[in-house]
Amino acid sequence: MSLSSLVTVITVAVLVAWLLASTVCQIPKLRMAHWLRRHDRFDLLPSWAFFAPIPVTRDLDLWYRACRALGEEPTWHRFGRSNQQRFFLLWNPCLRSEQTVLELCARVLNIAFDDLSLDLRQVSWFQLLADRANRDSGGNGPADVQLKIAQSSWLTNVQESEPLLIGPQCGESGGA
Amino acid sequence: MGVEAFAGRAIAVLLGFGIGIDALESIWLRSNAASPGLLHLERYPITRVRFGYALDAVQLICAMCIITQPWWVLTIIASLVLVIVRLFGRLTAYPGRDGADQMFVIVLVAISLFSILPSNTAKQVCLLFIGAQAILCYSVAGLSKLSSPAWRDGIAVSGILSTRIYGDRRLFQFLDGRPLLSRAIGWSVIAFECSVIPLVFAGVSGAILFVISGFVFHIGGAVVMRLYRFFWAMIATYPALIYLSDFMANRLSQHGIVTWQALAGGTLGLTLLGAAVIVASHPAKPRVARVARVGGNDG
Repeated sequence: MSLSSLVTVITVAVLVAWLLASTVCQIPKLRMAHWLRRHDRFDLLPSWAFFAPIPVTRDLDLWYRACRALGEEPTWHRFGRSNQQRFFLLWNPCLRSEQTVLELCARVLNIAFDDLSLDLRQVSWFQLLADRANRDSGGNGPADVQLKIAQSSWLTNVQESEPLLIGPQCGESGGA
Repeated sequence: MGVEAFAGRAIAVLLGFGIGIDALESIWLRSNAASPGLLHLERYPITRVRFGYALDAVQLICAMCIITQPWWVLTIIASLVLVIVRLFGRLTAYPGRDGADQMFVIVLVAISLFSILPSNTAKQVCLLFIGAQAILCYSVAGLSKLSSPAWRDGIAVSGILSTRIYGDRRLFQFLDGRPLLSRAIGWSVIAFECSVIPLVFAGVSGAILFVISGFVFHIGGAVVMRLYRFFWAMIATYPALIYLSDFMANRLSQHGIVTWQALAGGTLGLTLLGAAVIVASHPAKPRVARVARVGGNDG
């Protein structure tokens, strides 16, 4: 077998294997799918179920308040939402960061709902949110802010959005 | 220029635009101090600032090389560098990626192999792989929506439009008191996505019909839901879809295995049967969603 043929065979084998693995991973109930995803270090196995079977129907807003103020109730600040700068098909820089907030908040909520006694400060996604909120507030560390995740939509006034989770108070190490 | 070369060039140009715009947006976000959100949650501090700028600039330059293809060696190097940078980004960055990013990497790897490998068979396989991934993408998206009572009832459409991140206030208010219209839109999305197999296997005409519908569908998604990256990621696969359709029709009729009419009819029948089974096996009343999936993998 020539080198060219060998390379072609290897290419075919790799791409077919990748396609088969991608297909298997679309069925989350399969044990093989779990095994494959656990070893997918580079996130090469896609998940093509967009907005289904459970669609996104509410925004998740991240709020934070600094703990530095003494003797007064610190106010909640909503983690900035963009002015939605966009230009038809060519420019929408803030969507990715908003998607990141949404995804991290969803992960934190799922973890918190699974175990209400869990110390959220030990959860890496929560730490990320706290760290970023701390940087925004100019605090001394992630423990210097308290987080709140609330849901909203076009139907609700943002200021009155329903809180789904309020994180540990400053200095506490307890659960939600 | 052969058919394979034309398809590969078209895919590379469309992909280059998508990745180039993505890199520009990333540079803008890094440099804009007032930008909100949690972009660039890199695991390692070194990748947060200067190194991050460098990676974005490299992606932009490589994307321009892929679009313009000034010299074949440069194009190959640009493709390989893009693959490495994108995979490195997956090791170092936290959530925020979606299906469009996944499709970018899949198409990027396949088109890089297409550029590097001289064998015509290997090039054909690369194109067929991209087409097959696109078929898998649309089929799974359609079937997962079909299995969802929220989508079948039209609740999903109005629900998504009610969000600030993916919705549009005026469109939501218009659809709010029109449940039948919401349901019709939901079913049209399901029908479009589920039709990928019957149409692509119906020959080039069917594939072109699907591609035109897809173009309109993704422009709608970009305008209403701001899913611009999906537009570029998915239309980059369309030359491969048409190539796959033509390949299947030619090969099957050449070997006398089955006529394209029989294949189209068979796949349509199987799709309808599968759809009926899915609808029958899922409850009519939507369950209350605890927290929705945005898309992408749960790590």
